[in-house]
Amino acid sequence: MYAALCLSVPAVPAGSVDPLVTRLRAGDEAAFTGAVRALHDTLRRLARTILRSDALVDEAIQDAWIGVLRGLDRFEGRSSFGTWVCSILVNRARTLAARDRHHEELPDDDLAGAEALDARPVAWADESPARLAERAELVAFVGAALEQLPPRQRAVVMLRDVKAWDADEVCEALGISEGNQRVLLHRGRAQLRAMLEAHLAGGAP
Amino acid sequence: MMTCAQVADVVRDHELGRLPGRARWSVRLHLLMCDGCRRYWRQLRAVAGLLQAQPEAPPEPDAEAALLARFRARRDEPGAS
Repeated sequence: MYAALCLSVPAVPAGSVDPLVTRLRAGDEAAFTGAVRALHDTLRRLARTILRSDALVDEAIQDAWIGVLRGLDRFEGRSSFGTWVCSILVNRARTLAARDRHHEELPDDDLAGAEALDARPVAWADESPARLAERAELVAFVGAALEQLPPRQRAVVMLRDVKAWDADEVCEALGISEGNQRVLLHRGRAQLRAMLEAHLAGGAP
Repeated sequence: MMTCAQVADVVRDHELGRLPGRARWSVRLHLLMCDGCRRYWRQLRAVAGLLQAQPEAPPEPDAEAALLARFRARRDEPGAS
């Protein structure tokens, strides 16, 4: 039963091509610039889960878009455009990481420190998502906490929760199984919840 | 009946309205009966809200200009790449 819960609907129906791709093929500059801007933050955050240096992150993003332009005519629309761009980015970033020994690929997740999944939560003074999201200090804290997650958890939580992607898009972009995606997401969220709980208990201003 | 761990996994999908009917009702039924999960659910929603509120970094103007130049080259010389 559980596997069925996690199936989500692809953003673009199979067999049809995203209208954005049609505009890009036609040479629409505004469409291209719009896509570069819209996906930049996602690509940057994703590249940073694989590469340590900002210079290589920038290089990976440039490489990915060049790969997109080369592959544009062959793109069949099996996945969404954004998913496709991200999967190219992941490949380029891994290639760069493998090439440069000084900027090795970040190590795989060490899950030893992950919060026990069944830990019983304690009450917070304020648990209103709307009110908490208005506190800039907490937004910054969770942003910094996200950066501390192990790379694969960070990539999954970023795509699912910061960017609101569907599970199947995340699996496609990162090349991971649905089961892995679910475990990484759960551990990442649990870890962030525990970190926020500790922060709130520590008497933040 | 879903377990607590299963509920925690699908909380975000539930909130986004992405769960099919039967799963949605299973989540609601569980939350009705489980104090711990209600609190956990609320707190995960708070975390999700804070994640959604993260600022976005725009591309550097130079990097964007370089890419646009590539895009124009591709358009103006079909078959070049």
